[in-house]
Amino acid sequence: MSERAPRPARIAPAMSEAVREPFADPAHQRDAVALGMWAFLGQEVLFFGVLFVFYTHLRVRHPELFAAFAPRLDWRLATAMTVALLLSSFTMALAVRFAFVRMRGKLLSSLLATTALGAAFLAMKGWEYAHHVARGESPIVDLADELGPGPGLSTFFGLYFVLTGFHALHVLGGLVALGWLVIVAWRTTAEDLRGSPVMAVGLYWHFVDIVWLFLFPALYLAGRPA
Amino acid sequence: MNHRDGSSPAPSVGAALVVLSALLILTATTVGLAFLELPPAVHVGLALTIAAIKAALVAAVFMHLLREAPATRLVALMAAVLLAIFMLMVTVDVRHLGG
Repeated sequence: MSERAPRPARIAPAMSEAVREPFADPAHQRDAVALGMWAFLGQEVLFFGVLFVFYTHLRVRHPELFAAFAPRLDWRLATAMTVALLLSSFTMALAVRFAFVRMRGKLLSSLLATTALGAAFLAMKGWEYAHHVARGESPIVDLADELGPGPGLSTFFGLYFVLTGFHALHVLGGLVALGWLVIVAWRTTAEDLRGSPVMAVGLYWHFVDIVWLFLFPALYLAGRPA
Repeated sequence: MNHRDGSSPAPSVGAALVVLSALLILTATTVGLAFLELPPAVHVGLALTIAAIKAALVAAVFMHLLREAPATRLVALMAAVLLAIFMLMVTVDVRHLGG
């Protein structure tokens, strides 16, 4: 396990995408990875769906919270975050392409660009969180004197931190997976590159981007004209 | 178009650029619309529609769903359809039934 012996050529050169036991060929294996990832993402849809139930309930029952507190969210910063994630999805799609056509240099550049854009997103999010907490806009309630008057500032920012916090955790998870892909690609020759792992991480990354595409208008653009 | 010949399931650089441009234009549109004086229901409807179009673009091209096997497309479609039913029932419950 620990000896770094060169991997034996288990398969014919024409099928250098390492085909595992139950699969007939690389395309068959790739299709199975794609199906498995989409089944996993279906569960993630349910997870975020439950968070949006929390959102819908507050938005319908307490629109005054959105009128009062949504304008405190920085839509300009959130627009920059949206652009960063959209650009990262673009570079991720390119990374998947370059992995399958075995262009190692371009694959590494695309993966590093995606990682940098994801890190930029998290940095902006961290700055935003620090800004809100410094202004007392947090879900933390002083039980001694803040419970009682019903939903208020801490309710709205509770929603904001829960929704964006779980999303940010997903971005962080994606960055860890991207770091792993960079290390693997760095240590692999162009002929031995495998497309499926890059594709699997890519599907996850795009999904996390899609969640943000809904969070952005739902939180940052709600109640703007008021 | 066919990934079974060993080429990539992901879009070409040109196709990815077209989709990225569309996503950026839609983002600018949704930001602009947010500042118009419109009834709240129209605001929510427009924002949700644009977000859904953007999600569909990402799924179809960046996530190469259009090129996937029928079973994979069905799994993805069912996730979206079931989520829509779920959210519709929740909205009806919260708005009209006191849930």
